[in-house]
Amino acid sequence: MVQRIDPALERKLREHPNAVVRLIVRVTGEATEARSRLRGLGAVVHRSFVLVPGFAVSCSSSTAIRLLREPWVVSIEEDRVVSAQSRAARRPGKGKS
Amino acid sequence: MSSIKIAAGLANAMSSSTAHNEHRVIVRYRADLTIAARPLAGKSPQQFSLIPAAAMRVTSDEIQHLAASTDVERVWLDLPVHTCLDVSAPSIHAPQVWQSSYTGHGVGIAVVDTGIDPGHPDFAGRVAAMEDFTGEGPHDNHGHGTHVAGIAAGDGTRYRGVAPGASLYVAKVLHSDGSGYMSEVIAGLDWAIQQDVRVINLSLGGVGPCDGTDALSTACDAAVDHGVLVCVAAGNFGPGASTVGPPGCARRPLTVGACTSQEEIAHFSARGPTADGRVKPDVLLPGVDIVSCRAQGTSMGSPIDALYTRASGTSMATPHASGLIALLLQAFPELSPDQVKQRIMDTAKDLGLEANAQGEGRADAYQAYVGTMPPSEPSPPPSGCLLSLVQLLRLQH
Repeated sequence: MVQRIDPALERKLREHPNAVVRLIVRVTGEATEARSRLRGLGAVVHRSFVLVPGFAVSCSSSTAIRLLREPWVVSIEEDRVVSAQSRAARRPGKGKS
Repeated sequence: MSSIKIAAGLANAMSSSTAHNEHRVIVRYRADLTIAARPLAGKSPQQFSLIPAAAMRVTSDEIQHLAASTDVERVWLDLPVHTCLDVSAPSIHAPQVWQSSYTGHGVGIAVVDTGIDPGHPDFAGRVAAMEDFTGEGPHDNHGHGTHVAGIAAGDGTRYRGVAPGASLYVAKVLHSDGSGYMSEVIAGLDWAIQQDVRVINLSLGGVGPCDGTDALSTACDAAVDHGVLVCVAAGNFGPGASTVGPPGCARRPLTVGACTSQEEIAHFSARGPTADGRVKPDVLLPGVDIVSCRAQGTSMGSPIDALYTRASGTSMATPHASGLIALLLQAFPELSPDQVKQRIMDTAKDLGLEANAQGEGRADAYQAYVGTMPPSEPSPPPSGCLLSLVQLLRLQH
């Protein structure tokens, strides 16, 4: 069962409503329509996905909270940094943000 | 009696040559014979002291004469060897699968990573496609992806990967600093499943714990649903419990931890369980001090020379699995991803560690190929690779 949003992320969004965040938004329904709705709510859509129906977006925290009220939004999660797993590689969290 | 002392390979060579042709041979003597008493023949004899043997160049007549001696137990052809260095491919017995003519030929492996150096000679003619999702271009400006691709499918004479005949499909999703966003990796996965691949290698990850419901782990599960087995790194955040990070906690991929070539778990290899209580990793494979391809102009790891570098991590263990899978799928193309995964896990060698450290144990290419549990006796020799003469003589009775 996919959690709609991690409570810690939701707290972070509510505490900093003007901060711009990178998110992965999973959706149901027709992708073109979902993209249009995301844009209409002020999100910048970077990518859309096939394997997992959804989008990589940037938006304000307040927009992210607004997305939670949309029935076609399945889940919202932070677009986290991943790293090469060689020992000399940089650890996650120290790269992009 | 003397003819049975002559190994089959040497007998064949003798039968197809004249009596005056020279052969390079290795002669094993009775163990109780002193070095001085060993019968020698031909040219350039080289005595060995650690084992009762000597190498020399001899004619067929001289071979027959040696074999007739009661002091001689066996005569082999001294075969030219190509080094399968690093030791990791031989340690999982990949060369024994190559001996059955399976090198991964015809199987596509997607390396979703920092890109690749397509000009590296160990990939010549086998980089089928490259795609960039970082905006930096598909060439490897970090070194990680090239190293990973070399372990999976490099075909060098010095350092040979597990599936040296496989084709490579390369998605660059990690930037020059070795990191990237989950969304870039998912985009790479989307691209990979549209290519002619049956294996996807993800030598990357984030911090755990995780329960496998994040978008990247879900995408990995979905790729397996599409018929492509995904190999994911457990991560380097061990040895604490529940340190496997996404996408290592995904349900359907094969999650790979790292061990040494001597079958000791790497201390850094992330441990399970997942946040929802599942055992991870699934198997271990060599991931310590692995020498593989170096991308031009990069300095990842500890460079050996212009073409090779040494590195450690579950990143290095994971492409051993991807190469192993390519070997299996060339041999058994009808196997589903789930069947391949299960076969690898069922035939892994139990190292006697906790399940959340080793999974089912150290995966083995040859045992997965023959589909049986590892024997308690020593395995047959990894033919065609550089073995010590001691190993050769011990194994080739």
